[in-house]
Amino acid sequence: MFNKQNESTSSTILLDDVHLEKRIWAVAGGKGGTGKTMVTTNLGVGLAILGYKVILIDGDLGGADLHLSFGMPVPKRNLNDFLSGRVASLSDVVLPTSSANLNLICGGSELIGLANLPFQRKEKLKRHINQLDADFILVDLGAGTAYNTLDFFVISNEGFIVCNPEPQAKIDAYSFVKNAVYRRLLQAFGKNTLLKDLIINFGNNAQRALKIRDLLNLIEDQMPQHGEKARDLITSFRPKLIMNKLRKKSQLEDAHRFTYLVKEYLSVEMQYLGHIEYDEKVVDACEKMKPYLLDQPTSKVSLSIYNTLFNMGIRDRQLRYDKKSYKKMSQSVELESKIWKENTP
Amino acid sequence: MTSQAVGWLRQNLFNPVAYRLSSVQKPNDSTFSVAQVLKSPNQILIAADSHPGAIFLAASPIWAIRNHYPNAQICLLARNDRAFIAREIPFVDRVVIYEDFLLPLGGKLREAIDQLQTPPFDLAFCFSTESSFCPAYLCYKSGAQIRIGFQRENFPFFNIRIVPKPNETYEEQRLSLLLRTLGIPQVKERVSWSVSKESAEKILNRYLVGRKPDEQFIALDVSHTEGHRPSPKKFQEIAESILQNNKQARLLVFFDFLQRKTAQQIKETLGPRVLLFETDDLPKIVALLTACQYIIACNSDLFHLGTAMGLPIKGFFPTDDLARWISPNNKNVETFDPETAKNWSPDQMQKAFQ
Repeated sequence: MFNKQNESTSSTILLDDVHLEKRIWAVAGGKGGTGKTMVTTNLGVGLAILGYKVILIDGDLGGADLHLSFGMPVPKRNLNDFLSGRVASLSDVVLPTSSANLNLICGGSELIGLANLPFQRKEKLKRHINQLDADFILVDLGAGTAYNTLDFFVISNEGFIVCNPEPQAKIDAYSFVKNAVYRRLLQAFGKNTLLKDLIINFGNNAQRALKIRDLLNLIEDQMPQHGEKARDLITSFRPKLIMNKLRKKSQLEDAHRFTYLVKEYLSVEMQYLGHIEYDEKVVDACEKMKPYLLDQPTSKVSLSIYNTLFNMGIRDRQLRYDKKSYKKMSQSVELESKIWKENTP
Repeated sequence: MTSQAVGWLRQNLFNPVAYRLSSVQKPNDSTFSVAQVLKSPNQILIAADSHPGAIFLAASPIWAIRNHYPNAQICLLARNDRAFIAREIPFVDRVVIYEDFLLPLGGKLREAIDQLQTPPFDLAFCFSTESSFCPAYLCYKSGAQIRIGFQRENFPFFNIRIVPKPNETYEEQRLSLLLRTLGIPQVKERVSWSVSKESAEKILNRYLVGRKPDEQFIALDVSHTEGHRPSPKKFQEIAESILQNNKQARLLVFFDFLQRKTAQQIKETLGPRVLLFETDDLPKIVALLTACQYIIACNSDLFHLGTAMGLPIKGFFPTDDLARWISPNNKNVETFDPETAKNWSPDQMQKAFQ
């Protein structure tokens, strides 16, 4: 409704309803070696090429290596400087890359016990991540289901699971989603001792046939006042799946079967974003310490990254390409790659 | 096909067919008092013209209508590519968006018409000229009791028709004629646009990455416009010349979907000193323009926004269009004829954008 006060006092329309969207993506996977770091790096580079301001954070507190993808053997500053209090703000440890759109916060592994952050430090880190200014903040998480990893995954706007076709990777990815579900429920109901015990007992005693919907029914039966909230917590949890290093078409079907099983047993609707084929060129790019989107711009793996981004509804800010025409993207990527190389000191 | 040819086809072929296809809209009430409706209408529709800049030029008349009818519910009808501007107008209560059409068919148009028919309008103002058919057609389809607009030779869409002056008149004065006819007092002040310092800082930090405190920016708008405009190649030469003249400056190129390739070519040729911005968010555009030393534009939304904000503008306008689009009192605007600019030497170009 028109503000009548404006009418008499000012002829200037003040546009102050400014909302700058910020999306936090956490990339996890359960098993080590699924390609989380490479996928995070290249998603970040892809977003920067599409015109977005991006910050990549190496959240693998025990084994940080994201900086290596950008040719930085020893980063000048890293997360340790912030966590140990050497600098006051997380923005003080942001490092530039060859692209003005892309910045980096490197992880640090030199502090013993860093992988198990105490609660207060974790909260401080979360707070500072929320204060960073960027269109996208991508957090590369470590392998496993440590509380740190689960917590960062759960707090992000959107969580990504990077999985491989091997059964071990799928089992670990499944366990990761399961643990994230329990963590989500425990964070919401942790202060309610009875409910907490109910969830923990169910988790510990759960046999194969028991499904998360049984737990939700149990909560609804025993504590009906919390039933709806618990159900909402699970339905609103929609992690995204990227299948990496695919070699055969049949593995694509496995990926869809995986999302079906997650839905069936964990009541979690996973969004399947797409796959990235296995390619030796990725290894070449790793050896050169460069993102494959820049080192191998015309490769299938690079185009898969754009396909994944367009599948998520990301728009090219320059309106060059979209979901239908992404295969032609390689031309622009080559150009972008050249600009990046020219800018590299 | 050139835009002139499309315009001719629209006026002489599609618009008459569209008119024939439209069924006569029954008024809400067969008998009503014109004086009563004009005195206190409950529901008012304002159909903005579809030309670039039209909503900015219509802001003062809309404000005047709001002042005259403070208790009425005002709905603004705007084309979908201008929705981001229409939604920021504070003098209206509701915005209805339509897609430009050649023939009045399709579900989306039906949806827009449904929105215009409920609740029924008492009074509808149509700001469009004879050359833009869709807003007048939708005004007619709304079934408003009193529909006021400018005279159209073949399409009797309005029951109060204003005959505009035969000579080219400044757009705001043309609209004021419509208000004067109904005895609606005009507002003396022109409407301007701004964002708060805090919001502007947030926007600039987000979009002008790596910005230095004393860095200079110049805006170049290559968005689609009607009529004569510099060619994509000329825009590229202009961009090059600006960056050569101002070694420390960065060029902010604004573009829309239709002219995205022109913008991309400039970026590909001139590299990181060029930043591209789609014209899709008004607070973003206002904040970015405020950071610029001057704006180079044709007859586009940005041109009219810039003039409303009182920013220095260098504009490309055919001389026969000047009187219509540029206020005679505006001292911030310097204009160039696009036809003459075609043959500019590098020195002339350099001089123009110094």
